[in-house]
Amino acid sequence: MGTPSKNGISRLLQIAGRRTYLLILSGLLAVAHAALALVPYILVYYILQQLVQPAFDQTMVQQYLLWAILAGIGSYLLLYASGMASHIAAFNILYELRAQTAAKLGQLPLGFVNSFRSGALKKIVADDIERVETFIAHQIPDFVKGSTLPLVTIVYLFFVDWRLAAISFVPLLILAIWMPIVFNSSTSREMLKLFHQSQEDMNSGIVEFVRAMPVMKIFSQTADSFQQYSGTVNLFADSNIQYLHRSAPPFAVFMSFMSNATLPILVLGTYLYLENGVSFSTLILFLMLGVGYIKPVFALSNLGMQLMLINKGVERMDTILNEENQDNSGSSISPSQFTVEFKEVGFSYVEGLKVLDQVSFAVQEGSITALVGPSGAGKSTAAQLVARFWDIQEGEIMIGGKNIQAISVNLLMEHVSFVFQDSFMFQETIYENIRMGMDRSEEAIIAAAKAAQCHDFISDLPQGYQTRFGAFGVHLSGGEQQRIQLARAILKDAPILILDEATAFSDPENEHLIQQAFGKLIQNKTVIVIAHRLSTITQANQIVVFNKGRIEAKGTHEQLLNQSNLYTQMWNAHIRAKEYTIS
Amino acid sequence: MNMISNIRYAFRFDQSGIRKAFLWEFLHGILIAAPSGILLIIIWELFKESPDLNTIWITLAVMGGLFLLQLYVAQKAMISSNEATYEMSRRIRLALGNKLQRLSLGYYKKRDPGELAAVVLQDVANFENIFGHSVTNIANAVFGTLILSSFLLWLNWTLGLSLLAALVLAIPLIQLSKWLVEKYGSKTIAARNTTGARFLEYVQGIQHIKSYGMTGARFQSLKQALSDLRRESIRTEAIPGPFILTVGVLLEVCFVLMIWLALYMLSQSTLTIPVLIAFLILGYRLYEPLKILMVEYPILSYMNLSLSRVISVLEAEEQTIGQDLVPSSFGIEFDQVSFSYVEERQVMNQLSFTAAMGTMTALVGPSGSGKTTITSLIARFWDVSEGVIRIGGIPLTDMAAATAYTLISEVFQEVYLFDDSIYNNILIGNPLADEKQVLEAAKKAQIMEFTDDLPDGLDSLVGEGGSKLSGGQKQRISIARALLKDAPIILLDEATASLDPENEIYIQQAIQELVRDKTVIVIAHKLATIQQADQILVLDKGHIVESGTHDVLLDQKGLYARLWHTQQQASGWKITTNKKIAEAAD
Repeated sequence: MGTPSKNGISRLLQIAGRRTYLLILSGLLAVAHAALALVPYILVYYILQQLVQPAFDQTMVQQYLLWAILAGIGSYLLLYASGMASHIAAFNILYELRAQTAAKLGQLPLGFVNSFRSGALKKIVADDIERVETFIAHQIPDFVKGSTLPLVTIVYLFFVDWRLAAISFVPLLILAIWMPIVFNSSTSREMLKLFHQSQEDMNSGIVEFVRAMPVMKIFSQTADSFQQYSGTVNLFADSNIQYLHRSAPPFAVFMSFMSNATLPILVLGTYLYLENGVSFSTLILFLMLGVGYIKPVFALSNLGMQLMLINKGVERMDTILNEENQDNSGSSISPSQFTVEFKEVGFSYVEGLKVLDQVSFAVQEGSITALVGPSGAGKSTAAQLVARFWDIQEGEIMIGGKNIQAISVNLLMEHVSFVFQDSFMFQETIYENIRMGMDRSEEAIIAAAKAAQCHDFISDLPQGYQTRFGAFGVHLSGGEQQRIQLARAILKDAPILILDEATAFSDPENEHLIQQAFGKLIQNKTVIVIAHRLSTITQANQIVVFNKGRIEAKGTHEQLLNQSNLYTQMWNAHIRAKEYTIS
Repeated sequence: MNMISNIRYAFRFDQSGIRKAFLWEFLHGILIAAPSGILLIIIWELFKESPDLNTIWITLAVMGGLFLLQLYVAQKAMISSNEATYEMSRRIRLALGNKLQRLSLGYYKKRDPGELAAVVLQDVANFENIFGHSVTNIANAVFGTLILSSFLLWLNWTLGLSLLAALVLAIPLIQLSKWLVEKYGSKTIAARNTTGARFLEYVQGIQHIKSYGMTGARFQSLKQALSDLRRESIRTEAIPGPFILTVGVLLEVCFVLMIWLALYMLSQSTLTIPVLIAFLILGYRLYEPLKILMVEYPILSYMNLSLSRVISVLEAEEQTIGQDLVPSSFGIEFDQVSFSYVEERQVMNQLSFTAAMGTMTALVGPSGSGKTTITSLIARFWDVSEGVIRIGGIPLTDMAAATAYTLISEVFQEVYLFDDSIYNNILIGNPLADEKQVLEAAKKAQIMEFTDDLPDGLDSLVGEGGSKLSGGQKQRISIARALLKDAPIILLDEATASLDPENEIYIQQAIQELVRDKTVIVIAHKLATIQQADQILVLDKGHIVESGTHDVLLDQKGLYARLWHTQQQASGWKITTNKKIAEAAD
């Protein structure tokens, strides 16, 4: 990639530049097609000219008719070739842009990718990139055709008779000067602004109306919300109609000029012909060709609107492509031990808004450290940082005494497993979903499944381990998917584990099964657990209490009960919550 | 769905506007065709031995006049057809708004709200934009062809028919290419869907993919899908292309053959020179409308898809209401109720129970046993296929929707918050409530616990969709709404309390306030929370397998007792590498 900082049309041309030769070929073929498409007009001109000749040569004319048919066939063959060249270029470029964007997503920090909704990313890759096709496959050839051919025609006509050529140009000239003035006038711009404003209002009104409808129904307030909704709908329709009344006159002028474009040529031409200023055949030539060439020019007039849409899509794609890759240049030598240490770590997602500040704690190899705190205190962020979801701005995070930023992401991933609340299943067999590309024997996979308490339900599936998940296969309950995730982690057997304790509660009916799987997984590992229910972590070697991005206290459960007010408060609330019954 | 009938459906929304639009478009069509006629008259005149100057200048003056007339008519045509389009869209949007109010809550469960909003937003806009833009082009094309072909047929029907023959011959070719476009297009769409699914898998699972070092392998399979999409896209262009373009060739050939025929007729003196000139000049233009239609057709079928979606919402089935009765007591009764979401799979079979007014009934059972279905049926998300559900002795189907809604409050996991203050979000529960009542509800729902820390207190904004609040905080706002609404029946999912484990205690207290003196149906996951229920229904596969109070059910030593004991074990669970403690808890 060159410099991706360009935008607008130059960025689009840069993208098109990936297939320059194909596109030039397509453009040349398009011009040739358009030239041959003039043949019927020339043919009519020729015959009309022959009709006034005293000796009308029928055989000669028939020869021309034959050529005209061949030209017609040739013209469409060229059109097909041009279209294929531009489409092949376009689809290849789409392929490259998509693959490149996907590859890029694989290289960016996980946190960046997770900060998008997956639907939004899909929209960029599927729809926004698709729009580039219009530009490359259609607009480029159309533009070449629409601009070169009229140019060639008008130059030719100027050679034949400059006066008629000049006057044929008049309607185009008037419109070219006058239209922008009308559409750029301040009233027109203001109305357009009003139009866009009312459209935005209506759009957000509609989204809210639809999304809130169930709530409104439940609270019997549909009438009020409908009134608001119909207000925005009416305002939009009214401003639409208002803008229509404003833009109709210029449009009418445009249409009238277009369909009467022969008038100036007719008037001047007839006058000149009667005054013997031009020959009969010249006049006919102008009447045949002098109007036709204008049309393609106007076809270009709505190019701008479409370009705007395409550009918006490309801009969204560029926000991904321009994002900086995570530095993966670190060493690929494994750390020899697996302690985890936070040293004065400071981190913020957005500049100026610190999520973690001066966070320091150490986790001994083979011990369990629980991160606790009110929601939003920073405990999840801290856990994610160990896996380099994001790179920190201040301090250091060390594994076995090595700064994790000096360890390549791939290597780091080999040593760290995480089990988070969202389990994810691929549309593959259950077997492959556990194996996850790891080089492990079937026995090992089944052993992992047994340890994770999945073996029984997997064996009950129609094709056991070979059952496909999703689409045309089976679906599993949240708790079952969670256990598959645990089986993966057990199979991977990484020395450092980062867990979200809530995972264990994803399926209240089968909690104990997940808990057993958890127990198998954490044996002999260095464990960092994000904890919500304090009673599950009272046995942890160390509990780190987070509050507003800082560490409030550290210690064992008993120590904290004596030392930390916040912890004691949380503990009491938790115990009361545990004993809760609805009455 | 059929395009013509869909468009006619849309026309119903502004019939008089459409009629006016067609009239003006027709007049405009004549004026668009007129210059060709003028051109013809002048060329005829010039071909004469001694052209009559007067005729020429008068004709040109008429053309000038028509030009001025067109300035007016074009404006009228554009305004009337676009006004009709905007008017139809306005009325369609309002009709959709009306319809959305009448659809059952079940409809909203079934459809993704984003997708539904897109119908009102995008699909109507598609109709508006495409129809507004295309109607003029198509009207011109149709009216232009009609006027021109009648004129040419009147001049010489042999030559006229030989030109029109091309249009007839084109039909099978167009059909064939349409069929090919659909055939290969559907392959492209399938490839596009596969790519989309692969890509979603890639981004949604990216942390799992990365952590197992599978980036390369997964990326390859995505790349393969992208490459398949490229191949299918190119084929969809390449294969139908020649057939579509053959239509163009056909038109060219027919035009040339017509000239051939005309010249032959001229030599046989069965054709006069002026008529030949007319066909030379006007003949080729006869095909222009067809070319326009071919360009507009794909856009129109895109519009038609949008229109079909709009119509399917407008025509969606509504729940019927028999008598408009209002119950005076609030016990709930299921009488031999059967229900299935899809025809052949019954999820509930002849289920009966009563929940007396002011008591608490807990629903217990494995996932998929029908707990949620029962609460959904009480809220009349769906209608039962057999049997009756009654509130205070009155069947649900004999209550106006508005009546039923005032009787029931739900506390489920999803909460919809407006981008407004906390205060106004609570007020939704009862817009007539005064400040004192709102404050009291907020207090009871434990909202003050977190608003006291906020600079604007209850007037703090919640952000879009409540983005500035935690799950538990949103949940408490929804409970405050329900408190303010004070409906006699409460439907509750006990798991909502665990949404935000750090704030569990507050939600529990809020729920406690809400259920006081109400008829309560609670979906229970943690059995400990519902020990005091007046009635526990144990469900399995859509049947009630056990029922009674906690103590009675424990004594029965059935499914409930089994569930209870496993849960008791699980609740003592501790994360630890210390084997002794782990085993003790096991």
